[in-house]
Amino acid sequence: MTIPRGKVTAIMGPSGCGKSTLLNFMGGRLKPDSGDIRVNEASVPSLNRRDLYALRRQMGMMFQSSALLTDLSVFENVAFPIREHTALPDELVRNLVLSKLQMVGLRGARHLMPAELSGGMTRRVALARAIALDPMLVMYDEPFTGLDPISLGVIVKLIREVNDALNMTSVVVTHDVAEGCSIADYVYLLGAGKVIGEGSPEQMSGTTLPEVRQFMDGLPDGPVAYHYPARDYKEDLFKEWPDD
Amino acid sequence: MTSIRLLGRWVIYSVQRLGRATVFLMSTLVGVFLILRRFPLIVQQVFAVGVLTVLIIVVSGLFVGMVLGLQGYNTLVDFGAESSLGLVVALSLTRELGPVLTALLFAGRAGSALTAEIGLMKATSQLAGMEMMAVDPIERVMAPRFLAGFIALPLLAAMFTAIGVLGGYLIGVGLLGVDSGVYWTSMQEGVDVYDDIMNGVIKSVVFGFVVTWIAVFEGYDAVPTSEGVSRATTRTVVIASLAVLGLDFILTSLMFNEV
Repeated sequence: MTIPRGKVTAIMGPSGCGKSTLLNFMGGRLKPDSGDIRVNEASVPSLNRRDLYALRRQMGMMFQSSALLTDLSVFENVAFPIREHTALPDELVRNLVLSKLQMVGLRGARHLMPAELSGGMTRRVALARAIALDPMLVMYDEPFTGLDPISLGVIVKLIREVNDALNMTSVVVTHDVAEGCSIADYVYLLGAGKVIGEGSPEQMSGTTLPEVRQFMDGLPDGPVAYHYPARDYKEDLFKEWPDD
Repeated sequence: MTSIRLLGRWVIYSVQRLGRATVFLMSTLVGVFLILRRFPLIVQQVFAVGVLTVLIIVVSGLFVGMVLGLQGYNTLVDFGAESSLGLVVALSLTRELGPVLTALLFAGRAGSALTAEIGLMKATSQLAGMEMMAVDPIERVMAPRFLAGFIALPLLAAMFTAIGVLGGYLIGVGLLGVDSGVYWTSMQEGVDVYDDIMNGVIKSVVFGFVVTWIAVFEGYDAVPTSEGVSRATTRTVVIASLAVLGLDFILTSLMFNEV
C-alpha cells in the first residue's frame, strides 16, 4: 500500500478486517510480525523510542473515542501537545489554540469540559488537537461513527478543508462507504487482512469484483458470508439432547 | 490433575504480573527523575492524593486516639499505672497504628481513586492518545502520581499520629482525670526519636512506596473495560492492604526485635 502525500486516502473495509491495526502500525503503537511500514522514508517498526516519538510529533491522530483528556477543558486539550512539546509563551499558545478552534468552529466553546460536549463537538475538538502542531500526516480512526447528519457533514467538510488548507496527508479509516468515497482521493479496500481493491472512488464504484461490490453496495450475503460458520441447520435442529 | 494445572497457571500468571510490575516500576522511577522539573504537576497530584485524604485521616486518627485512651486507661488503672497512659498511646501510634492505619486508609481512599482514574484513562484511550501525541504516559501520568503518593503518605501518617495523641489526651485527661502534666511527661521520657518516631516514619515511607506502586500499576495494567477497571480497583485495595500488613510484620521484627 502506498499513501500519496498531500491527498486524502480512505482505508475501508468491514469491522475487524485490520483497519485500525494498520493505523496502530503507522503510529508505531504495534509492531508487525513481518513486513515494513515506512513514513517519510523512516521504517517505523525499527525506530528507537526517541526517533519514534520525534516522528509522532509530526503525526496527528483522531481516535474513534476522541480520547480527549477528561480533566482538561477544550482549550487545554488543544493546548496539551503544544505545551508538552514547545516552550512557547502563553500568549502565543493562546493564539495557536484559538486559531485551531476557529477552524473547527469551536472558539466559543473553549471553556467547556469534554463531558459537556456533544459527540460531534468532541470529534471536532479531537480534530483541532490532532492538527495543533501542524503535522504532516493526520490519521482518522472511524471519524464518522455515531454522528448525527449535521455533525457528520461538518466532520466530512473539515477533514477535506484541513487537509487542503494545511497541505498535509490524511488517512481516513472508515467502514462508511458514502462518506469515505465523498472525501477520498484514493481508496483502499481491506478484507480479512488483505487489500482486496484499490483505486479512485469512481473506479471503486464501477468495479465488478464480487468482494468489492458486496462491501460497496452493503449486501448482506456474498463472499463475506451472512452466517457465522456452523454445522448443517437441519442436522443441528434434530440433534439429540443434551446439546454440545 | 486439574488443580495442579490451575496452580501452575496461577503461578505463571503471578510471576508474569510481578515481572510487568517491576518493569513498570523501573520506567516510573526514571519518569520521576524526568518529571521533577515540572513542579506544578507534582503539586497538583499531591493535592489530589494527599490533601483530599486529610479529612478521613484526621477523623480516624482522632477516634483511634480516643479508643486507645479509653482502653489504655481501663487496662492500666488496674495496675495503678494510669500515669503511663501518654506513653502507651504515643508508642502504639508512632510505632504501629499511625503508619499502618494511615496506609490502609490511604489504599482505600487515594489508592482506589488512582487505580480507577488511570484505568478509565486507559479504557477511554486517553493514554493511547497521549502516546500518539508523543507524550509518554508513564512520565506524564504515572510518575507524578507515584511521587505524590510517596510524598503524601508519610505526611498523612504523621498527621494521624499527632491527632491520635490529642484524641488520647482528650479522653485520658479530659474525661478520665489523668493529670495533664503526667500524660505529656511520660510520653516525653519514654518515646525515643530514633527508635520510635524514625522507625515509624521509615515504615510509612515504605508503605507509601508500595501502596502507590500497586495502585498506579493496577490502573495501568487494568483490562480496559468497566469490569476490568472495577476488578483492578478492588485488587488495589486488597493487595495493598495485605502488603501493608505483611510488610509491617517484617519491618517490626527487623526494627524492634531487641526491645
